[in-house]
Amino acid sequence: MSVELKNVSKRYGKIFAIKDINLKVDKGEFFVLLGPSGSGKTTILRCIAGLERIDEGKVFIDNKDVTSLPPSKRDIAMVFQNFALYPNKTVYENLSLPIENLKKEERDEIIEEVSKRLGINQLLSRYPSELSGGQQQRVALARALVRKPKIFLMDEPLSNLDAPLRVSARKLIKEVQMENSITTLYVTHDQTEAMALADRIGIILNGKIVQVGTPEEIYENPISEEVASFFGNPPMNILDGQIMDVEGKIGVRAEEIKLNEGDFIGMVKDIEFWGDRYLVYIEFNDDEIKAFSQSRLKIGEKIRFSIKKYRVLK
Amino acid sequence: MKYSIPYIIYIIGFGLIPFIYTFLFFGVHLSSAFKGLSLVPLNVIIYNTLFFSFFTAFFSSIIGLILAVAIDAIRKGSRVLSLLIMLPYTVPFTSSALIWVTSFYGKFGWFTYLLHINFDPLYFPSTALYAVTLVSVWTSIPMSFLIIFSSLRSVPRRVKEAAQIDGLSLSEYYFKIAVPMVGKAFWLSFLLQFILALGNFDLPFVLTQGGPGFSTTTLPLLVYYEIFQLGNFSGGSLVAAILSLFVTIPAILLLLLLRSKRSGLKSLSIKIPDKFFIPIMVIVLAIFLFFLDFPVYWMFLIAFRSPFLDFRSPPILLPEHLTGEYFIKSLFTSVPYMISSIIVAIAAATFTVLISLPSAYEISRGKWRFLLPLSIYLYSLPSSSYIIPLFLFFSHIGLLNTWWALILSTPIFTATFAIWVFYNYFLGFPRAYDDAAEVFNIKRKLTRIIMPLSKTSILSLFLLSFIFNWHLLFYPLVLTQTPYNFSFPPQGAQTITIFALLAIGNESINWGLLASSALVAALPVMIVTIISIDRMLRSEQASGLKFV
Repeated sequence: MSVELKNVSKRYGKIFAIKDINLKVDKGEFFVLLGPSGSGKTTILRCIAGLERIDEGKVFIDNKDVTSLPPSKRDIAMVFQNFALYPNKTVYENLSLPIENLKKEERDEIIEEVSKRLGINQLLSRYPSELSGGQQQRVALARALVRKPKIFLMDEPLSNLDAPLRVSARKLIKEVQMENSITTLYVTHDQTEAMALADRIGIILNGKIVQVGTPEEIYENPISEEVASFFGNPPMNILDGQIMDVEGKIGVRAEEIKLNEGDFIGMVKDIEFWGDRYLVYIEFNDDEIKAFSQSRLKIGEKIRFSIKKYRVLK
Repeated sequence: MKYSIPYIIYIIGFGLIPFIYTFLFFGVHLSSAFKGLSLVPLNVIIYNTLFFSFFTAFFSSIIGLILAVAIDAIRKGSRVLSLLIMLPYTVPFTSSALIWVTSFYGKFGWFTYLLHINFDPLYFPSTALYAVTLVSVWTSIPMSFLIIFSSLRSVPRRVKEAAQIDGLSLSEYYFKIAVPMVGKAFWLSFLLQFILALGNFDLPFVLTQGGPGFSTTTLPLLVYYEIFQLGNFSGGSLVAAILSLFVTIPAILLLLLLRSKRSGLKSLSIKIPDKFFIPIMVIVLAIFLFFLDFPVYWMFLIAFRSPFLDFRSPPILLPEHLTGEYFIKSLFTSVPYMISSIIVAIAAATFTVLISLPSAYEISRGKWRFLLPLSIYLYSLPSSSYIIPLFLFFSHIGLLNTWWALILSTPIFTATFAIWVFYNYFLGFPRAYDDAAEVFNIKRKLTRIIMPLSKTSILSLFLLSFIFNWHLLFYPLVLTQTPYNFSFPPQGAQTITIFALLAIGNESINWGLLASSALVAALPVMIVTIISIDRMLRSEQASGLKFV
């Protein structure tokens, strides 16, 4: 099922949390809303869920106007940041609450199927406080799945997990989404997550969608300085265009800088060990340039480099 | 939307309408209202009211703050010491007043004896107001302490550790950092005590009946006299209206305070070396603990000993010739009063929780926002603001002198308070639980999810409402005339506080009976109170209570 937002705005008092949002997510697509905290990405998600009443615009799910429908009528399921499992209910009860309208046998069947798939069928009689973070996350995912929703909404569902667990949980989410081909909107501030999961990414800055595209598109061609300085790890170098004889600013990725060759000379200010390589901070004119190096350089050392590729930024 | 309806109906019926009616009532009979007042020295009474209220609030908050700092600094045994500080709070006003009547008894009373006062300060116009205010401070310190102490304890440990690393002495940490951080709690305590003292009927009524002359008469007492001695209902409503206006000013300040983000206490540059600071705090604490707890000991002492030991000078302060005779006697005669108090307090507390929890939940989620300030305002109003219309209403429908009159009328104080406390509790209640309930279309979330998750808070408020109801004197005094007569349907509803009040005639004859009555009225609620305070002191989470 597709999701579409048309000119959606939401205000808190006089301040716009999100302004004039237009967005179309296609059926079966995994769409990630990426932005720094406070940018309004969660507000967009909550507007789609119906948890926030929007001030202007319309929300369509499967081409049907759902703007005035309550969350329960929108055929959606949601995974919350801190999971929001009810601490006074067992895992089984938490899973059966969303499908209470069904008969007991039907419910049991669905719960068994989903909990087996997510490997939590041994935990049904436990309480959330007796589960590890990863298990809680699976239960939260299961609770969203039992409804067989048309749309999956996920609000930073991995941010409460430890780093190693995040990778496996990320994979699980992607698998579940593909098996059921559920249209998914996923909110995060973590670009690694966004790049790993997304079919398409929407970058949100200050309550506006500033760029939509596949991860590769955005990585290659950030639309503005703002996006360039936010997206990618490390973020793009933003330099004065004069050094390449162009007007305005240019963006250069760290891997597009070649060390020990070319005409530019800078000074090594700092280095970080990144496992397979080193990230080098080079002082050049008044800018700081990030580049990759295969060997550990000395701080204070003079170094030559060249720029292999760049794009002009707006 | 619908969750608040029972509560709204209730506060309109038993709060707003009586309150507005009080104003209309004297307006209609304006000339007779003023005629009734020409017989009394109104300026003296207003002065008494303000003196009594201001100094109660001032001293109880200052002493409460000092004690909170002392307990926090000493650390060892803080739970037991806190309970000892809270002890006067466990005793109902009526019983406290009875204890103090015997403590002030010239050279026979322990307090006057220790201070070498040869007369009973309650009997002289020049000293009576000071004595009444002193008792009021005694009863108010615990609540101030509790409010300030719980705020002091919520100062993050990191702050104290940072102060240690920066090399601040303990005294500097408290005066420069911790005390300014609890400024809001201090002013909350001050305003709350001021408001409660303005409406305090029980203490002056039991201690002096407003005498000698008008020297301790305050506005709430005047309301009572206008109605029940002069039969002047319009005069009574005029006084009640004046009192309501008086309360409105601190009530508005209280609301502003709750919204403000500033602390309101300046940091002081007082530096006392650590090796002196702790001993000073221990000494201060010991002195106040004696002042706070000795009266309670005195109540037990004279309740359980032979009366020939009572009127001695110097007074005998150690237990000897103990006997349970008077206590048992009081216990038996108190049974009908006790039954009324138990039934009324349980029913009113249950009713309180049932109507206030759903509404407070809804308010905390952004609906009916105005109900919160309105509730705090209604809570601030003294009982005399409502009493005249309620009295007329209950007598009109024939419910006077029944349990129903009390069960229906008293939750106006507890339910409004409960809204305030529940609201604070629900503010910290994860929002995602509601969102999940909405997204997954979970039915009856109030009874299945919210109430089970608020169990601790519910129990705390039930206990507090129970305690509050048990303490009440003014409403039962006006709305009931006889004790429960063991018939069905039940008739007569005088409560245990009235039972204690009836013992006042014994003050010059038999302290054993007087103190036993005070003790019988106090003992059940003392136990309940100690349990609830202990829950609060253990942790905020364990009690689900939050003041600021």
